[in-house]
Amino acid sequence: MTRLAIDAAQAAGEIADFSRRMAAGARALAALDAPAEGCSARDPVHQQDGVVLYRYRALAAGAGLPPLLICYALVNRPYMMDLQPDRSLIRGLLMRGLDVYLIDWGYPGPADRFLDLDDYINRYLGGCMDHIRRTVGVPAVNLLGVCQGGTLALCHAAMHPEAVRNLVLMVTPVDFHTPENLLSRWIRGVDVERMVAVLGNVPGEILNATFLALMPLRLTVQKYAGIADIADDPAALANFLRMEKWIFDSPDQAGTAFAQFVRCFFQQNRLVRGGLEIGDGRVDLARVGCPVLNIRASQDHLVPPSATLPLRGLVGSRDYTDFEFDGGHIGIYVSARAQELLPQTIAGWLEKR
Amino acid sequence: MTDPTSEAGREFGQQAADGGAQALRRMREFGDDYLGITRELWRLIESQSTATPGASSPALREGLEQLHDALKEKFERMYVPVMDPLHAQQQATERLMSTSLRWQRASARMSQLLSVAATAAVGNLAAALAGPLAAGPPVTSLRQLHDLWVECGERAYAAAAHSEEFAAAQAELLSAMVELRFEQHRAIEEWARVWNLPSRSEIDAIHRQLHELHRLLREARER
Repeated sequence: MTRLAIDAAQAAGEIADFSRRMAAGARALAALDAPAEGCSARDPVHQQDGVVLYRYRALAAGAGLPPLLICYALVNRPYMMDLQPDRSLIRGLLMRGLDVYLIDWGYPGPADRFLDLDDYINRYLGGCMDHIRRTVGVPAVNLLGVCQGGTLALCHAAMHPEAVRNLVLMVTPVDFHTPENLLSRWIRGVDVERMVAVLGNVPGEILNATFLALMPLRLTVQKYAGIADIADDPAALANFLRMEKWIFDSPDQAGTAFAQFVRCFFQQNRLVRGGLEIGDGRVDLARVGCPVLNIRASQDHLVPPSATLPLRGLVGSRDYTDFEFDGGHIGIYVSARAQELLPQTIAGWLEKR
Repeated sequence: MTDPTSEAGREFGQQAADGGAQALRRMREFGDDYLGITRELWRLIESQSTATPGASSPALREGLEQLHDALKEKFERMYVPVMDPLHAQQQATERLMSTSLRWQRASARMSQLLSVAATAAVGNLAAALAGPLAAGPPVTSLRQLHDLWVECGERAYAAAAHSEEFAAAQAELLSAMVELRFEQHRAIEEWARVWNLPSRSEIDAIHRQLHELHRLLREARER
C-alpha cells in the first residue's frame, strides 16, 4: 500500500508552474527597496562607545508606569521588536501608554574584541539603567530582557536588585543543559577560549551558519521554496525580505564577551549551578526579589521551554508568573497572534505592579 | 697563501647554499607528494559517498589512517637538519600541512555523519510513503512530496544532530578550522615581520592596551 499518487502530467505542470512562480518571486524581490530597520519614531538619548539607548515617542496617553527598558540579544539586531507597523511588540507597548526604551548594542568592531560581560552587563546595561533613572527621576526601572538579552538582564537584576522595579523575560535561557538544547550540546566540547584567541571577534556568519544548522531543511530549502506561494503578493514578499534582512544581519560578537558567555552559561551552566561572577560582582539569582514575568514559546527550537522553566525555583521573588505563548522563537515577535496577546500580557502584568 | 677566515667563510657560504638547495628540493618533492595524497583523500571521500553509510565507516577510517601514515612518512623524509632560519620555515610548513590534513579529516568525518543522516532520511520517506506504518492522506503533488521529504529529513537530521558523536565531530571540525587559521595567521605574520609591516597581533596588543587605558580612565573619573 502506497500513499504516493502523483500523476505524471500533473507533476510536469506543477514543475513548470513552480519555476514560473519562483522566477516571478525573485524578480519581485529584486525590485523591492531595502527594508527599513524598525518602524516607530525614536530618539537617541544616551550613548556609550558603540552602544546607543533609544527612547520611543509616545503613541498614547501615558499609563503612569515606570519606564520600560528593552535589553535585546547581542547576536541579532533589535529591530525585530519593531519590524513593521502590524508586527511590532514595541508599538503594541507604546499603544498601551508605556514609556519604552531600547538598547542598541551596535556592531562590535575589531577594537571591541576585549569587551567582556562586565562591560555589557554592568557598564552598558547599567549605564542605560542609570541614565533612565536619573533623567526620568525614578528609583527603579522595569526591565524587559529578550532571549540572550534576558540572560544579561537577569544577571543585572541579580547584581543590582535596587535598580529593577519589575523583570520581564522573553524566551530567555536559564538552564543551558537541558536535553533538548541542541546549541548547548554542540558547543560544550568546543575550546572557545582558543577559538576567540585565534579569530578575535566571532564572525556573525559563523553564528548564522550554526543557527541554520539547527533545522537545515526547514530554514533553507523549505523557506525559499515558499517564495513560490507568495510570488504575487507584494506585502508578503516585503515581509519575507524584512525577515531575511533581520536573520542575516548578525553582528560579529566581541571575542572576550562571547567566550565568557559560552563558558559560563553554555558550558558551566552557572545560573543553575551557581558561582557566577561578572566583573567584581557575584550573580546570585536568589537576590532577584522583584516581581518576575517569564514568557516562553512552546515550540521554541533555540530556547526550549525546559531551558526557561527552572527560573521559578532559582529567583528569590515571591511574585513570579510563567506565561507560555503557543508558537516558536520567531513567531513570538512577529506572528499575528502575538501582536495582540504579548503587549497586552506584559502591559497588563506591569499595571498590576 | 689562503686566508683561513676567508676560506671558512666560503665554506660556510657553500654549505648554506647546498643546504638551502637541498631543503627547497625536498620541499618541492613534498609538495608533489602532498598533492598526490590530497587527490587520494578526495577520491576516498568520493567513493564513500556512494557506499552504504554504516558499512563504510571502517573502510573510510582505514583509508584515512593510510593517508595519514603516508603523509607522516613524507614529512619525515622532508626533514633536513639545516640552519636555523630554514629550519624554522620548514617547521612552519610542516605545521601548516599537518593542520590542513587534520581539517580535511574532520570534514570527511562530518560528511560521513551527514551521509548517514541523509540515508536515514530516505528510509524515513520510504516508510512514510509505503511502509507498513505509512499513514495519512495520499500524496498527490510534488509539493506535498517535498514537504514530506523535509519533515522526514529533519527527523533524521535531528536524531543524528543530538548524538554525542555528531557533537564531537562538529567540535573537532571547528577546532581543526581554528588551528588551520592559526597556522595561516602565523605564516602571514612572519612575512609581515620580514617586511616590517604591522600585523594582527600588534594591532590586538594595541587594542588590549587601549581597552585597559579606557578602564583606568573611567576609574579615575569615578574617583
